[in-house]
Formats: sequence, C-alpha cells, structure tokens
Amino acid sequence: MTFNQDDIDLFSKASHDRNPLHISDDYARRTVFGERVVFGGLAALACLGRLSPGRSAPMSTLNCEFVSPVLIGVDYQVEITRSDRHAHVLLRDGKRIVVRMSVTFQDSRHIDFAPTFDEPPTSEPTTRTFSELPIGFSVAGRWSPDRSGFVKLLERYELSSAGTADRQSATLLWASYLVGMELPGKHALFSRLAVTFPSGGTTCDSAFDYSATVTSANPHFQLVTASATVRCGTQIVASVEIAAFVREAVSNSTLTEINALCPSSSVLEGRVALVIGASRGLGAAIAQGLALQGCTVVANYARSGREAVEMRESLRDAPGSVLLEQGNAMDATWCAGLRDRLISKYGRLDYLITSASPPLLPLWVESEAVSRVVSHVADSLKLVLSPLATCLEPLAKSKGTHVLVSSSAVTKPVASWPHYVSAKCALEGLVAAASAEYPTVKFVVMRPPRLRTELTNTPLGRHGSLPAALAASHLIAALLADRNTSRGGVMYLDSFEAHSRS
Amino acid sequence: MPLRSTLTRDQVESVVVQTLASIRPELSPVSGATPLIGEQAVVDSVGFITLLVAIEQGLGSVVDLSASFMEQNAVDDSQHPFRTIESLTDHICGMLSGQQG
Repeated sequence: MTFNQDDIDLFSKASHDRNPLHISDDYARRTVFGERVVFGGLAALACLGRLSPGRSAPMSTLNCEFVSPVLIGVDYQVEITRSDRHAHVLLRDGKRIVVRMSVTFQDSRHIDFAPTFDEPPTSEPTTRTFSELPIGFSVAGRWSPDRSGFVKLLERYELSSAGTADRQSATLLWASYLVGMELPGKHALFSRLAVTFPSGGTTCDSAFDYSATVTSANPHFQLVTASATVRCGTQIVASVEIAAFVREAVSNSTLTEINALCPSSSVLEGRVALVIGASRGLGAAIAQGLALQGCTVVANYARSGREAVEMRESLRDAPGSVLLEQGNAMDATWCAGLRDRLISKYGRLDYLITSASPPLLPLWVESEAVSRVVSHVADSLKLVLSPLATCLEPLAKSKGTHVLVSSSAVTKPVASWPHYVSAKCALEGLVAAASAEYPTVKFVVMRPPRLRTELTNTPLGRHGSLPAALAASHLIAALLADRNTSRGGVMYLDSFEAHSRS
Repeated sequence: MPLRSTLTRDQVESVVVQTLASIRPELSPVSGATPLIGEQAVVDSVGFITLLVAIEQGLGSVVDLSASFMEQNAVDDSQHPFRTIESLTDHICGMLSGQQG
C-alpha cells in the first residue's frame, strides 16, 4: 500500500482537514518529518478498504493507533487478522508498525447516509498551544464531508464494497478534521482514535453536529485526550475518544543564551566563516556565536528563508556581520560559485562549518529500508563533500579550519538510526582523508549528543536533549583555544558539559 | 513487599500488566522481565507514553510517572527504572513509599 500527494489532497478535500503538516510542503519541511505526512485517518480508511469484500455488518467499535508517521511513496505492508466479529489490522514499514487498528462488528443493518453538505466551521486550522487546552476545554460545531471528495474517496478505497458504512467512513474524516483543525488544531499530531458506533438508528440526513471536551492534558508529553459525541439530528452516530500530541516548535537559540555561554574575546575578530545549514538548530547557533565573536559569517540556507532572516536580524548589533546565501549545498557547482563570491568579497576563508543534514526519521537494518538508508547517506555526504571539496584550497591558504558536525551516535550507535550513524561515520572518514591531504588545514569533528532541534522534535526525542546554544558555545571555546596551536590533524570535540561564561 | 500506601506491590504490578495488556492485547503473556524501553521493547515510543499515562490513571493519579520519566537522564540506560515491568513496578512502589514516608 502506497500513498501519493493526490491521495492526501483528496482526503483533505473530502474531510476539510487542511492541517499544513499534510498539505503544505513548505510547512512540513520545517518539521521533524521533513516532508508532508499522510493523514492518519487516510491510512486507516485505506486499511478498512482492505477488509474482506462481502462483509455486510457495520462496525461496532474502531480503534486506531497512529504509531509512526505515514509517508508519501513508501511501500507499506498491510496485515489483517480477522474473524466474523473482529479484525486486527497492522500497517507496517518492514518490521516497524506505523498504524495499528482493531475493529469489532455488530449484527445490524447499515443505516443510510444522505447528509446535507455544509461548509465546515473553519477553513484554517486553529493554532492552540498545549496551555490553551486545559481539561474541560470544549469545541462544538456542524460538519459534513465535501460531497464530491467523499464520493471519490469511497470509490478510491472501495470502502462501500468492503462493508464499511458510509457514515462510519465519514466519522473517520470528521475525527481527522477535529484533530487537525480544531482540537488541538495546527500543532496536532494525531496519536489515537477510539470510536463506538451505536447499533440501529434511522437514515442520517443532516450534517454531523459534534461536541468535544478535553478530558486529560499531560504537560510532560504535551498529550491531550478528548471525548466527543457526533450526532445526526437527534441520534448519536458515534462516541469518540481521541488522543493527540501538541507539537511545540523548537526556536533557534537566542543571543542571550549564547552570550551567557560563550567566552568574551576578540581573538576571532575579522575572521571569515562559511556556515552550511545556518538557518536553524546548531548551525544557526554556531553562526550566532561566531558573529558575536566578531567574525564575518556567510550563512547558507536551503529553504528556511524566514528563519535565516530572523537569525541575521538577531545579530544586527553584533560585532560581526552576517551575509545570507541561499542555495543547495549538495550542488558542487553552486558551492564553487559561492566560494568565488566569498573570496572575491572578503579575500579569505578561515572557517568552514558543515552543519546541514537531511531529515531524520527512524529506519531499521532491513531490506525494505535499503534505498532510504543509501539515499540518506548519499545526501549527507553531498551536503559536506560539495562545500568541503570547493573550500579546501582557500582554507589551506589561510591555514583555516573545517568543522564537521557529527554526532555522539558514531560512538554510541542508536538502533533505528542506521542511516544517520552510517552517514556520520562516512563523514568522519571523509574528514580523516581530507586531513591527510591538506596538512595545513585544521579539522574539528563535533560529536554532540542528541540536540534540542527540530530534527529531534518528537514526544520522546526532546527528552534529555542538549540545547544547541550549549553545543555551539563549546565549539566557540575550542576555536578560541585553538588559535595559537599548530595546524593540521583532527580534533574531536565530544564533551559538552554544562558551563557558563568565564 | 507490603507498602505503607494502600496498594501492595502485587496490586501495582497488576495495574502495570493489565494496562499493558489493554494497549497491546496481542502480546503473549508478559512477565516481570518484559522490556518496555530499549531495542527489545514491546511498545514503541508513542505506546510507551500511552502506557505511562494510562498507568497513572489506573493508579488514581497518585503518582506522576510522566514527570518521573522526564527526570531520568537517559532513555536507553540499562539501569533505567522504566526498562521492564518489574523495574517499573519497583519504581512505582518506591514512589508510593516515599509519599507515605
């Protein structure tokens, strides 16, 4: 089973769920997922369509757990275990379960679904934060699917012939709308859905009237649960329990944070640094730290223009200056052009910091993941090799330094990160070889532990992570200490104890 | 081990086991050594969070397991108190005893 962008767009149209995590490339790219995520409700509907044809009983209960993100273009496997009254469905990516479902069926006839088709209560997702969703918070409204989108969706996944009642399919669409648009809304990450469908009833000939109330709010995991009731006229269509995480964007480090951690010095004043991947996370923190030390920073970014401008604006009063350079650092030709512009303008290059990395989603060492592991490693290599290959000569000329942002995962490998670990090991190998070829260039390999950046912004990923400002301050301190030592060789920076400015 | 709280260790373990069974009904009978975190864990990260929250509720919210988990230094530590059913049960009992003391 695979999903494409048309599938997502059709589900969005049918459900009125316009959450940007699913429909906006630009928004999704700036999240931990790095790309548009398939609606959990769409994956569940597609799985329901795989239940044996001919089953005529409607569902009594439906439980869905959205365990991992479902992504475009991945070939998922569907496992169905069923009896007359139960079905268990697993959507797998290799050995990793991404959606887990259980269904029970009832002994009753299907109820006709012929709703009126109204406009949804909202066409843009609300932007509630976790603190704005206390226990007892509630929303209510009237919803119906988009007529043409709903019909196409039912046909696309053969839901009617698979025995799923139309109003039950519509309930799944409504649940996606509720979570993605209203509760929590824009920052939602749908985790669980439990629906009870009462038996009996009469034709549903109006839109759904719904009400939903927050029943628990866990501040440590930013997890919200809510109970909801869906009615059609006076009859209850479904009783629903939902659970959703409220994603919290990871902001770039502030100058105050970096100032508090970095030593005060004029040693780096007038030096020229090129930072690849400088708009967010550790790259941004390093660019800020260098500018605060008086360096001229050429800050490369690929697509996060807003964050890059914010980073530059934050340094308006810094002793160093920041020049933004948008471009694809994987492209060696573009890197060569950037190098030429940089040398033409400043006459030298003292530091090259390669901090860009592809999005990091879990994978396993298994056949289903081979192409994705290889692709991740290749992209990671290009993001370092292209700028390094084009900048080594000017670095050698100025007896400069290349800083590779590697990871503690090189020495403490993380299961489910085989692509990341492989890439970082390969990059360290590249640096070792470059060091042998360019003895006048100093190489620094940073091996920070998991950083608090958008790359690790998951409910558990944030736990125990290191602030990017702290990692950046250790690098700045190392560069300051290194100014008067001999050139050449590789220095490994793998201690990131908390400290304060001295 | 009798606790100074109204819950015995067996009762706490029963809550943990039953909660896990409600989240992962397909699991074969579990034991004290059943891993909850790490490479062999029977629950994924979202399932683990769901488990902690459900156990808290199953114990009447007398312990803040979520906060306790976030205070631990490393998710994959072999000595992590949340690593197995047995260690988690002991950890909860310790929290309950501490409250009573």
